[in-house]
Amino acid sequence: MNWKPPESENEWAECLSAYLDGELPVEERRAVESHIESNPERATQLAELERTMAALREWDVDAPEPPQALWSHIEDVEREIGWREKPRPRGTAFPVRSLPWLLTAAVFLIGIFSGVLGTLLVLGPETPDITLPPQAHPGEDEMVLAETSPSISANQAEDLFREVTATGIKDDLVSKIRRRDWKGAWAVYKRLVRDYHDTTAVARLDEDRDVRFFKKLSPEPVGDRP
Amino acid sequence: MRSKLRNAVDRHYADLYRFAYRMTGSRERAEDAAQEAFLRFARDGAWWDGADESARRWLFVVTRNLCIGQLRRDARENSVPLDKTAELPAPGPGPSEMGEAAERREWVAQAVQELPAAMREVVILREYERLSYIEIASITGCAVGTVKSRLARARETLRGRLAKHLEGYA
Repeated sequence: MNWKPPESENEWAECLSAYLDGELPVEERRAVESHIESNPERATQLAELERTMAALREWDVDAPEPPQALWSHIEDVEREIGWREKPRPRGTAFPVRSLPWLLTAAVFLIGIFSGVLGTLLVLGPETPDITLPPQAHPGEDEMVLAETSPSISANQAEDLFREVTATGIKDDLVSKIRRRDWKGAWAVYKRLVRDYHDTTAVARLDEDRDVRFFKKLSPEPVGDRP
Repeated sequence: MRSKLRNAVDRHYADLYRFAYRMTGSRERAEDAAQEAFLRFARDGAWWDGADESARRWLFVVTRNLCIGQLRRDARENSVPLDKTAELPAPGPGPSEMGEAAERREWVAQAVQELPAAMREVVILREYERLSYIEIASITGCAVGTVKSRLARARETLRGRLAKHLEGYA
């Protein structure tokens, strides 16, 4: 090995320090030992360094037992978020929680479709085409369709769709919580609470164990985490 | 049956406390830092796979950050930890009735405490926790080369400060 002795005092300090820690490669270590054998000044420096390190290790510190308050808190956390449990599988592929709402939405859409179809059949082909009112705002297709259904008002339809949407967003939130995507979860949570605060899904948010855990124990990201 | 979380407290609390005490020089702050680290671990540690090593490293990172934060606040407020003077000796010769070894420990403690925080943490993690350079780098968030140079400078500083107290010490 083509080892060159350090040139500066700082480099020597680093070299000897790493030598004592066993952090030098074997060949470099042998080269340093060989150099020190023929250099009393460095040998003295090394001996003083060893003595200093030995003295450092004499500073022992008695540690107290963990305080009862810590055990109590841990007990709370274990009860709250289930530390004792085995890790749960990550988010299910199909949003089972949404099933009731999805079925409701499906029944609703079938009703609308049947209503429109029935109207067309009763009026017959001579009847002028039904012209749907122009959309007041983009994205209100559902509203227009709902207005053609005799069994549900426009407001009810909107409420229902808001519920379905809020439930879907809530499932997304739960999925993010389970994946420990705290930043994403906070973004979804804020959107849900801001835009769908009047829905049942948001009103019953705290009934979900994952969401309770998330709100209680995961602060909004502030960038001071390790 | 004890949970993994409780076992982690049993295994690591004392080490975290000692590390924080050596960093801050205050038993009260050391206790606060060690507790806070476990509280955060309990709160944020759902990622934990149960491996002891990963928990230990995470806990040390948090404790280290808490200590550094405390030291910065102290520096801003131009104060020292409340019980520092009560636990660490004032400059000057130690009490004559103090044993030689005890006196040396006091000098060592004071010399380590007087190091800049960046040097202090690498010395503590190396000398007392026996961590490798790579492990220290992962905890302090700096490069291995930086750990190496800080450690060397810290030791040289300590060698200079403790030289007269270590005369005749084998």
